[in-house]
Amino acid sequence: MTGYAELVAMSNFSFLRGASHPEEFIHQAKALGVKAIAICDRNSLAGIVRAHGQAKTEGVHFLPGCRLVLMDGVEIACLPTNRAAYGRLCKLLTTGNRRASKAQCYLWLDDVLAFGEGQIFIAMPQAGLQQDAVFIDELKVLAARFPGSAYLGATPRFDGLDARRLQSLAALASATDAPLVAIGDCLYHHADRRHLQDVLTCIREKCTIASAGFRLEGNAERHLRPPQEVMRLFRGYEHAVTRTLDIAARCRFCLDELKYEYPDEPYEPYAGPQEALEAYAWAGATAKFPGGVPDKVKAQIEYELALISQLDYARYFLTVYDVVRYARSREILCQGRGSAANSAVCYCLGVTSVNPAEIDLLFERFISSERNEPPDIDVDFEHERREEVMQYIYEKYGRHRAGLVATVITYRDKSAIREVGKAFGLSEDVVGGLSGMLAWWSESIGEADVRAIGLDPHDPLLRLAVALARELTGFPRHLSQHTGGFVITRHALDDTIPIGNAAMEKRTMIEWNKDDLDDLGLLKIDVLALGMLTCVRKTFDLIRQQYGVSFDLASIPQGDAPTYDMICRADTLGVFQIESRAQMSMLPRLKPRCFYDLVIEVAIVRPGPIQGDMVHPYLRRREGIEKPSYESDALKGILAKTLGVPLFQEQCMKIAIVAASFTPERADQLRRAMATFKRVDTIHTFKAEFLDGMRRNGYSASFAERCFAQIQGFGTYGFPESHAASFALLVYVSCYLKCHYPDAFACGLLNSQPMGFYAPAQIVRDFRDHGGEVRPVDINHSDWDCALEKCQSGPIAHALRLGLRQVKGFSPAHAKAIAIARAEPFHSLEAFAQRTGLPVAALQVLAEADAFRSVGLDRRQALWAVTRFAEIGTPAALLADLPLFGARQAKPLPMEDAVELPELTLGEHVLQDYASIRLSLKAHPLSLLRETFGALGYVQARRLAALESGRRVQVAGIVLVRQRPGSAKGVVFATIEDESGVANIIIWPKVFDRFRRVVLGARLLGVKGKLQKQSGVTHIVAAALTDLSPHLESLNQAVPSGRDFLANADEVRRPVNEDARLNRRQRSPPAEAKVLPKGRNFH
Amino acid sequence: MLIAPGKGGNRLIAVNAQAEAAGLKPGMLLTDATAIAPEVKAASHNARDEAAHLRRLALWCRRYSPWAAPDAPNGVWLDITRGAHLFGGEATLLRDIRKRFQGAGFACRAAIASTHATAWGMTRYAPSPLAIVAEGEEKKRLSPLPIRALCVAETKAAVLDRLGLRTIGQLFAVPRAQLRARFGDDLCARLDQVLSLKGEGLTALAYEPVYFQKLDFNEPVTSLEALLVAAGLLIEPIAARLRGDGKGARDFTFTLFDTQGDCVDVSLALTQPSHRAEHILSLLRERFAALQGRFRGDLAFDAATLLANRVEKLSAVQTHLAAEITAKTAHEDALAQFLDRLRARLGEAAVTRFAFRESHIPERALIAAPIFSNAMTSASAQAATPRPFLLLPRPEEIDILAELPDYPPRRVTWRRLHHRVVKAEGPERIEPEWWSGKGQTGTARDYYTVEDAEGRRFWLYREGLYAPEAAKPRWYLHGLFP
Repeated sequence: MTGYAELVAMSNFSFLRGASHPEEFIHQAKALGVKAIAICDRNSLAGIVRAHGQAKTEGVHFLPGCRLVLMDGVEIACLPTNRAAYGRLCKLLTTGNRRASKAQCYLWLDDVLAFGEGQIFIAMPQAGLQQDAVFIDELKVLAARFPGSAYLGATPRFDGLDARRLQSLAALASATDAPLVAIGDCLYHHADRRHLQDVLTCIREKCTIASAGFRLEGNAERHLRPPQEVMRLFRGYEHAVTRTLDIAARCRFCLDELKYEYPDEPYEPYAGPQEALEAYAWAGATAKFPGGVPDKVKAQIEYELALISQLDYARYFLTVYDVVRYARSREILCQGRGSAANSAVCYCLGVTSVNPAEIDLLFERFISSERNEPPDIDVDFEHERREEVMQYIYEKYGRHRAGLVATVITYRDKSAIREVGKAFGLSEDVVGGLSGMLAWWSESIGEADVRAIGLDPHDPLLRLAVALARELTGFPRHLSQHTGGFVITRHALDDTIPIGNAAMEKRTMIEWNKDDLDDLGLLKIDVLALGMLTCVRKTFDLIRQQYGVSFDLASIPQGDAPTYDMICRADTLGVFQIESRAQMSMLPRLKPRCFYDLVIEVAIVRPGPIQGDMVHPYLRRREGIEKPSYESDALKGILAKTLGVPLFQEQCMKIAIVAASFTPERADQLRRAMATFKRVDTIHTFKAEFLDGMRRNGYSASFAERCFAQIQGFGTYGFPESHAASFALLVYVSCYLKCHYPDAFACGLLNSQPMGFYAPAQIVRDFRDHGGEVRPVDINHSDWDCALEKCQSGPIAHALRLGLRQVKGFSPAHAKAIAIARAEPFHSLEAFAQRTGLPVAALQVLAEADAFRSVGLDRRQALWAVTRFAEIGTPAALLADLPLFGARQAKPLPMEDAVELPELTLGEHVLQDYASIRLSLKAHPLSLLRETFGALGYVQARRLAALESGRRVQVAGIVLVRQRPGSAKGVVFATIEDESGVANIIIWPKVFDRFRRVVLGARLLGVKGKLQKQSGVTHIVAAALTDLSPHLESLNQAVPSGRDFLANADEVRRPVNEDARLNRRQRSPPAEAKVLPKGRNFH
Repeated sequence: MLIAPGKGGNRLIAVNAQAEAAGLKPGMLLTDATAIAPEVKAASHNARDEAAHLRRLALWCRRYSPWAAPDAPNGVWLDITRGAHLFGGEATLLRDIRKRFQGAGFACRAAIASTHATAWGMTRYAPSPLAIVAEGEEKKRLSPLPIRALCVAETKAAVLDRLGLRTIGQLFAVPRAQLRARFGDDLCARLDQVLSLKGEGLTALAYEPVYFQKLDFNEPVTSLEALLVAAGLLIEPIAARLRGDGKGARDFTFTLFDTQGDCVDVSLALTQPSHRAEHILSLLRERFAALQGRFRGDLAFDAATLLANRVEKLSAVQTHLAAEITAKTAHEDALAQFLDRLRARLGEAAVTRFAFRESHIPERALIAAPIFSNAMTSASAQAATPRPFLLLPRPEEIDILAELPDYPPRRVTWRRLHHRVVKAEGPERIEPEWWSGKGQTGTARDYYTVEDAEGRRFWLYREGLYAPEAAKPRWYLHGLFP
């Protein structure tokens, strides 16, 4: 019998060791005629699902396995023979993972023995000729404990000693009763990967390729070999080769055996989960439609329930229902998003809020019987309180049953070139040049770019580095936790997947990512964080306290005309989604008047529709310049609501169904094929099918082509309608609040920072522009959060009192101490220091925030007084030194003569305000410079509205935001602010290149350019830019750093790349974010 | 720009004039800097080299005063008490210092004051690059300067700034007690130091004894012979001091100051520490011989110094009773002196020894290293598989008879002699070092150790792997086992 099975191969999920993707191993095994292949990564099963998927497509026998790296240095490959043994392997790895910190696994031989039943072990000999005593001992123990299942691996190393080594290993094998078995111990699927493997070694060892020495392999032999070659190399030991087939035959475990079982939810008093779900759904339906459930909805619910029953998903729905119920019970706002919003059942359960009576649902987008893929319910929670929900899940199901899904972080262009450059020992400026070129926005490196930074693109070393960086791109780098995806199982989860500790405290995660779970049919529920929900909840609370009105998401009055008026004015700073510059410029053109207009607004300002050139046709039709045309009545039915322009994924699917006769499932496959650019080949088969279908239904070929091109244009970025509708609900709610309760909304917004597009300065400014009064931070009035105070005059009922949270470097604990000590007002700084017991540093921070005005001290006087404590101790500290009873009669500090400190100018005050609280209520810096700037010819931003389009103008302002959206082909959009308002600047790439330094470096920017007005939107197209920052310095020597002016969305401080945006929105802020400039949220 | 790892990534440490003009400032993140000015080159900041360099500058300054010390990161202290007249007065001295530093390519600011603190502040913050503060004028001259001229901690300076106290004069105006209550004794002490009310210990000088001599020539010297005589005069007292302290030096730097404000260093590195004047002088003679051609005829020197570095304690030389041990020591001494002469005459790089290098490629595994480098000599740096001690200067092509694809040869023909192989081991496959050689990757080699019927052992290799369609691979003999 001939043939060979590769039992030990390391994929690139053995980070920085393996140099091939698991899929590549499978593919190569098939090509070489290897009978079976096992992927054994180091203490990890992270790569086996990918290998499994590939093996299924290619028809290769794949063995999931693991290379156990023990703490004593011994390495043993472990191949489970059946489901039970696989479960034990998972448990073994979980045990090791949970002992260690993230990405570490501490295992000893005893653990292996404890979970060893049903496994096949292959001990991996060390590289030298002799095996050390520990290895031999452990091999003996293994062989004695698991007779017939312990083997000794042997692999040709081509180091000149192979014959001798084989001989000595054979002797060891017979001495220990662990038969010899041929293995490849592969690091890559093909010898060509040696270069990359060497580079990985260098990255791992943090050395350069020239200095790596013997840490690199001497040859390229650790690749997969064809069976004949293995047979030849093992001449004289052929049984070691044939044994691989025996072992492979014994390992019959296949990942398909992993049957996902939903956790049981209590369904009493109903007969079963399905019955319980139906009861909840109908009860919900009755509550949602007090006037009777419309027939359309009733039919939809019935249809969905039948499908859920057929696919046995009832328990999953109950789980989500339970999580949502928990959140509601703790008054945590939540709302489903994504494809789940296509479900009427989800609506009735209160998971989602899109009313099926108002929006066309496409349930197939969510669940389909043909698509072998579980539903995916995403629920947003308030970002500050999501952790409570997560801990509830851990608590309810236990850590052995619930785990966070992993996200595989891969090398991207920039990180790849940086790492490869380091390994090549390229000098700091070359690496910096190569990656700095990408410092702003990630694009791939082209030859012209290389030359542009003064490097020779034909330098062989550089070419090699760039080529290897390209190869490295896409390699997994480490596992990170998913933004909120949970896998929950009925039985132990660690029986299915190893669980490990995440980097964050109290979080545990599994090794597989979303796609892996999809492939295996494991259900996950996404517990996501959304800042706007926090803001809305805080606003609700404030309204209840101040106005005595109780709202929840569902009880906001719909169709409110003043709210839509406000939206049409683009007066939407701070609200959800439609606050970005691009969105704001669209609002006056779209003029949303009803909820569905908002849905379109949310969906249309997206890279997909913009790149697919759908925005302008839609606008033309909307403005009545062009008449919508439909090829057929059937299409009119689909596209009428978007005036003939396909805007949503669902519409694309429906076109495929109606016009090209696709089945709903096939249409969904088309959507998925569009979303993944990798499967380029499949899109062609869809195209042929699509065009064919359209032709048969009587559409012209050119129209069909155009249709398909349009669908394709969408690809990844198009929004599903249901998702847009979910977001539009929050858009409306936030707009309603801003319109009717601007005080509470501004306050809630400030208290939810960091989130959204704008910094507190703009929120405050916007509030004041609307006539609101804002009161400064003060020790006698401010709590940690911003608050509302009764206001005597003005159009807005309450004044906004800034909270201590605005003060840079102040901590919530100190704010609490102040609140506790403030039973009666503070009359002096000394009394304040004494009663609160704050440390000097905190007092200093307050002084710099100018928070002692109510005790009659300005910031300088307060700082002078506080600084005194630095040397002699605070009053509270002095008290602590006094005997117990003397405390109340503590000696006052010795009196001092008054010292004449120079008076602060307004300019100094303003700039120090910015340095401390990132905004100033005293004045806008530009107002102080206006005289100078007026003489220089700079006009106020407000005056732009009165000037005619096409005029040359000059404006100056503080830089709020610089953005270069991927869809805008290198155009930079900047927003600057002066004392009168903001001005939007467009900088074309040519101009940007000339004024790069100014654009990126200036805090105060002067712009000379042409005024451009279109449909009520005003821009300045920059022709020349000036860095006016020195003028700021003229106001004071202590100038705040550039960051203090920036809004949340500025991309220089926080480069954004298209793919990361979604994730970013969901990420909860790290702990240190309190002191950093606010905000990772970006849309 | 110079960069070093800082908070959040590499940060700029220092920038040159062009970088500054491009808008870069120290403290910036490198990524920000390259975004703003991609054309500016970055180099890693090396604090140790910088300190060493500053120290050398301080040493050079000893031409003005024996009391010179580096003041990191960018200053040099000189105590010129009662010495200025030697240079034509204080003003002339300052101008001379500035001229010479500028001649060497440095930007230079200097100040003379009778208190340490005043000199520090004036040097760095005075409006003009050269300043002399007469005794009693300290307060007046310092008052308009920013408080940072007091060398206060940056955190305190920032607070003072926010209090509006921006000049030293403003500080003098504040009652001392209130200032002390807020900024501690340090600041007040510093203010006192300006007025020299409080003594500031001069810790400026090197703690270890410095073996240094200076000689000023009455007339500019141009001939090498004369310089050699001068060197002899400098060496003698240093050698005597070293001998007296029981020490020897491994490094001697003979510095010649020319009349143009330049200086030339002649360095000697010794194999063993020494204090023997005649040996050192003989080495200098060797070096001078080598330098002869490099001196321009119009060069004239007006001063010379000699500095002994890397001073080590010499174990007292004991005369052994056993003759062979004495002979051995004597032999080592002689060897060391011979090596010194070789290096002095031929240059450091010319005298080398073998060292191992971690490379899989046999001919690259052994390198010639400078005799005092710390290149590896231990066996751990060697390949695991036994290799011949000596390789042939270049592999010699041989004829073989071998079985395909990678079995050892049966018969080897080398230099027209046939050898029948009776024992063989291999192959050891060695792939080329793909990253070196500018794009030429070369081919893999399979090495074999074979033994012929007479017991001769050869180390040979086949270049290239056997492939059905490729040309017949060639075989080479690379080494012989003893």
